[in-house]
Amino acid sequence: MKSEISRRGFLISSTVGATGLLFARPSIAGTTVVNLLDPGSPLVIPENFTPSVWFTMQSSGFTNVHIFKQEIGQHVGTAFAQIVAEELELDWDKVAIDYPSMDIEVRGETGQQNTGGSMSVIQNFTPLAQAAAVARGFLRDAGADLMGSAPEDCIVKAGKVIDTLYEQEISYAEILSQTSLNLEIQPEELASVQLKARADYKIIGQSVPHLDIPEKVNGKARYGLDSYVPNMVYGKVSLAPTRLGSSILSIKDQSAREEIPGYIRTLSLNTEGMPGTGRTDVALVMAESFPAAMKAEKLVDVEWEVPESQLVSDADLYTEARRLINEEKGESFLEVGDSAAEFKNAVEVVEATYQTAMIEHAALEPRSALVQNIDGRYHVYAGVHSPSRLIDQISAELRIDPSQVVCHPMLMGGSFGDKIYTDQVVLAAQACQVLGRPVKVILTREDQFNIGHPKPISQHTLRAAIDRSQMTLPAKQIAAVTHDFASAPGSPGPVGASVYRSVLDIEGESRAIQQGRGVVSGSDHWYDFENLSVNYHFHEMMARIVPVGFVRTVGNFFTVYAVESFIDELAHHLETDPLDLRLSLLRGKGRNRGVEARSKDSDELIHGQGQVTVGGGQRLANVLKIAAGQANYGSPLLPRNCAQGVSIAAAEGRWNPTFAACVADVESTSGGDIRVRKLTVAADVGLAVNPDGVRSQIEGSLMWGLSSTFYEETVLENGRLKETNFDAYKWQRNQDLPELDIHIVENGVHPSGSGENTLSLVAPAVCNAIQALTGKRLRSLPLKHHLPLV
Amino acid sequence: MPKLNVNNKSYVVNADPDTPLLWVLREELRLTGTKFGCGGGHCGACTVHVNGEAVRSCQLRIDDVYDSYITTIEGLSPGVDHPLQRAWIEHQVPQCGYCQSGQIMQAAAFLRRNANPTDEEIESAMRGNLCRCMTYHRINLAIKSVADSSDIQDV
Repeated sequence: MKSEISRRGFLISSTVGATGLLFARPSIAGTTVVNLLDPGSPLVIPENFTPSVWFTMQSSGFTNVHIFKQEIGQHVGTAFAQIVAEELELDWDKVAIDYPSMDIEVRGETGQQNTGGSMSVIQNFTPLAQAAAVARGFLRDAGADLMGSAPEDCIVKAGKVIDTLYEQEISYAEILSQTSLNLEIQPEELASVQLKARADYKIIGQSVPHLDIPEKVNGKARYGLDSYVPNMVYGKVSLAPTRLGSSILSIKDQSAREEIPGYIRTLSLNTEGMPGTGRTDVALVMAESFPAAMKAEKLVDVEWEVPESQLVSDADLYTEARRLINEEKGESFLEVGDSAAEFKNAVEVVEATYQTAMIEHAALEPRSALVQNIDGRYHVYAGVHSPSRLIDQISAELRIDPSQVVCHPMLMGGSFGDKIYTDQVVLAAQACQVLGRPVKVILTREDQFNIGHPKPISQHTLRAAIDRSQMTLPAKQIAAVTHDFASAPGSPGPVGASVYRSVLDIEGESRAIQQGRGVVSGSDHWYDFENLSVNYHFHEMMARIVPVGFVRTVGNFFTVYAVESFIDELAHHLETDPLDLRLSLLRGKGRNRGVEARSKDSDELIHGQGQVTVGGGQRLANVLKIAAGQANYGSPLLPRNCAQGVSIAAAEGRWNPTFAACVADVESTSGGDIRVRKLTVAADVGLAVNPDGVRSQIEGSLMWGLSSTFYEETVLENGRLKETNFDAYKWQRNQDLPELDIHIVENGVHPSGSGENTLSLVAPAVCNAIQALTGKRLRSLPLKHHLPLV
Repeated sequence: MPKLNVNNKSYVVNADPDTPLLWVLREELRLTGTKFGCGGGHCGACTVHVNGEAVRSCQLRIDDVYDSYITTIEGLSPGVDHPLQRAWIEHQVPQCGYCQSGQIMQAAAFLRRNANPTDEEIESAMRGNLCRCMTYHRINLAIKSVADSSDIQDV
């Protein structure tokens, strides 16, 4: 511990109450600086106390929590501030948040900071709490020292150190204005610090109003698109006839030069969304204003070479997906028991195939980037998921040292995974390097669709071997299940795979498979199938044609749809209730029990990120019971034209499971249309830092799920994404909204994610309800292609 | 020199007469609270008031609105004092917040014409304003709460 309290004030007397403290000439702790009004009389500026990179305490009593995760609409800053304020015992009214800039020096202190996977709170809950708790100890000691008290007699409460024995107190503000705390928290202190008990929480668990909301109702919030520097010029992209694979042959801009005042020139550039996802040529039309750039782009004639091999359409992708599943072996993502042996002898097999379409992020703010060179350093102003990784991408693209890149995060006007991809930042940086002026690249909505990174299509075949010979319980009659599916990842690289000899095994054999990032999420579900085999088929053709991306809840959207539809089909086949079948398969066998809550020789609960799965399948069963009960599942009171369907999910996966269940109430209209009346959801997030924040994320996720279920589809036509704007790409509007009945459950020791984890519940719950209502099983999304049902 | 009246201030603008009002507001006047979402009038993120009427600023040429009075989100109230802004905070409506300037401007013009709307009338008035975070339930709740309160006089 680098511990040194430089005490400048000298305590001569203490009386009850903070204002009663008297100091002999408290020469203020701080730095002397030149006073421009009177250079002979220097100013003394108190030093801030920054015991860790996560927050800074001012002598004014305010604490700034530094948010290195990016704000996308999830109010991450408020959640982090609550965690810090809780352990640091801050007065909530004296907490502010900021979003620091990122360069390699900062990255050295923070490590890589990516925002995604609904992982921010799950990853940062313990580190932030520990840092705040250690700092609280420093302040207590400093306060005790100033009061002349014994530290062990002092408690810390609402921004004050209180000597309970002598009934005196001193505020953080007073401490920091009277002493300089030159303390840095050391790693070993973090591990050993005592955190507050959950029962003592005063700020965590409260729905405090989000700190970022006021500026979002008066136009003051600054998003990437709002960035501005003097003398900047604008770039409008001119895109290829195919999403990938075409190259620029020539650029003719005579008319633009003659007719458009402010036109500068058109650059022939090459970019990609993320290293390894597929590069593409782009012509960047530069002008002094964005309207001029838009006009000029219409006049610039770009000649493209378009390889025949790229002229692929939707139908080709689905055909290839079916071929992969039917003809290729695929890669084993999960093996439990020996399903092959069971299928060899099976006399009864149930099989179903499912299919889902590409879905756009369609964040309302299109991507943009402003890049400015100041004294050899490239300053990026943009809303992106990972400023720390962007440093490496830009330095590689511009062939400059990473120390020459600085990222200034801006708010994101929605992302849903879109702003993970940074094609537009690369273009702005390249143009800035060529032109020597600050460059802002703005994607129009049409550009945004065309240079998108949509969710991949998916194709699934699920099979179950049924053995009725010995077992009477329906769940026991499912001897084995296989799930084969084809899709493509949002970024290249390996992903972990496992083999368990038996469903009772806790530890399995680990392997890795390639090209499955994000896609396989959700296929490793918590059902206690005795024999289960999950095979993933990488759709190489799709990845070559479209750089598909991570879109909200990634693979869970389609794997959960397939698995939860199939479970229902099995229940119908085995003539049992879908709810009962699920509950009897959620007994938490083997690894489905989750990690142990306590070590063998202790009564104490273990805490921390690794404990997020405690309770496992049992928690899924519990939320299913809650949702079913709240929805009055199976009640005869339901109107005749209505039915219910259930689903469960533990998205985003075993590293971040929010155990959740849904009951969808659907009704059919006279024309054969289907309307969702109500979604009843119970979501076990372990611990809710800000319950209303969790609720709003679940509301949004469910509506996203509904929109994806019924409407959303982006079509590939001759190698190009066909939709160009919101007139063609349909999604949920403010109409026909279902009632949302959301129940937040906190049956864990550690918070899990809430930004996307409940989205995947909707499609299967709705389709299961439609089958209950109409007898029709809808095995592809979006449902608009099936409706009206006649 | 043609002038634009925005938020009770008069501005001389230096842009082609066919430039969409949206880009003049954002880039010339730096009133960036009005957002660009689609450029085609499909999403409502760019909604402002022209002579009190809610319109899509991406669909208006500036030479059509030289003599009009334009209000943007920045001019709706000095801080966050408009009843709708207060209701938006009370109900914690925004997530990313990007569409919310447009939502609030749309709702303000609507409530001035219909101070006592039904749920269906609210949906119908707001249907053209997309929210990708899908905060629709809270938007409608917030509008209803203003309509149901004495604040409705101050909309």
